[in-house]
Amino acid sequence: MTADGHERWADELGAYVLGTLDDVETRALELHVAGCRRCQEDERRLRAPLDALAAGVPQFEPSGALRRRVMRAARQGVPSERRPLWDRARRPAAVLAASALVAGAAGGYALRDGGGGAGARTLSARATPAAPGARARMIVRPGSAELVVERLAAPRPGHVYQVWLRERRRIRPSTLFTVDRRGRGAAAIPGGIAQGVQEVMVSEEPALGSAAPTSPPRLRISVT
Amino acid sequence: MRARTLNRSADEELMPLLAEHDMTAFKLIYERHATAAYSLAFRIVGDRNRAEEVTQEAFVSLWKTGARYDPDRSSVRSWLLAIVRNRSIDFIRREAVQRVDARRNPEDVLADVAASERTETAAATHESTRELLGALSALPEDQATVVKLAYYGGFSHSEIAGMLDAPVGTVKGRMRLGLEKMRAHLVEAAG
Repeated sequence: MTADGHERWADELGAYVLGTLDDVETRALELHVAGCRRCQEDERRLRAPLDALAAGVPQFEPSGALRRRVMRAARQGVPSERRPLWDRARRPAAVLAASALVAGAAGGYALRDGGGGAGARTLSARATPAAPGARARMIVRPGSAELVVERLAAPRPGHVYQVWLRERRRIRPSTLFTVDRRGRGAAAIPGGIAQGVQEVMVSEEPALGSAAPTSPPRLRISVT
Repeated sequence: MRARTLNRSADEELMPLLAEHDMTAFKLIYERHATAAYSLAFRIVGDRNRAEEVTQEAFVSLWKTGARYDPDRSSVRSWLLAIVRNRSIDFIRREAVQRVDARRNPEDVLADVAASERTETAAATHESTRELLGALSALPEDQATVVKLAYYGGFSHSEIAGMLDAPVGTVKGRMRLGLEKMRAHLVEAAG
């Protein structure tokens, strides 16, 4: 078995069953596991202690009030009046993305400010011939950014898309993502778009990502 | 009468009834697993009110998505506790984003782990708790630490690597080895 076969995934499985991989790493691993019987067996073996971790904590009785709230919420078919604060305050990303207007420009991605909620800018784009039919939007907030793509062809088997941040001649690797069968995908960019970043690019890379781009950019989004 | 009949049903037999919005079946599932769900949420989020919110969300999710339950993949209890764990981790991550969270200081996090160990040792009256403590105590400290930080703390492998000042590959290796040793210990204890 080569390093490209099983061994490279062995340690990933432990991190996977403990839920420490990000979405893109998770998808990449799941792609591999789906076709690797040895990894499937390893995953089952590594998951075995999770029940003990979950059930092995000190046991406390929940209140009767909680039971009443849960039953009331179930009857109503909604999460109840005691929705968590984050749900009350948060606008779903899909809503934010849907609020963006798509504007295209021949030969590149024309970005412009759009909606996106308080403190957010939605930068939208249309694909160049390098990624026929693809669309991309980037929702930029202070300290965070999310790239949302649509109609982007799926990467080759064993590959994912990787986001790159260009600052002048320096290109820094960022997050990985893939797309569903309809070409839809999203990637949270850790740390957001720092000052000095001039361009966000997306290229196809091997499943665990690369330190530098190994293929031409599929998407180029000018930030300046 | 019907409740008495359903009470003899296994969880896996009750789940299809949830898809039909059968409240009796849902109440039975709740009675059987609410304590475990709430206790796990409490262990992760560390606060009674937050734990209740997470537990409520998890059961409502179970109610809404019960039709997707696959008995070939896991027990109902495992499925529910996975939902609780994931929602608890989502909760503390969102809180960490919304405010500067002292728990994200590596030294505080590691101190929390040690404090939790003392709490668990004092509360180890449940059989499974004793087994778990045995399984965890059988691990080298570095492996036990990464397993706890990942499972109960909800930290990513890169965050843990940063806290411990260790390479990501080392952290992932410790996770795998820790889980393998825990499994071996639990198998031995059961056998």
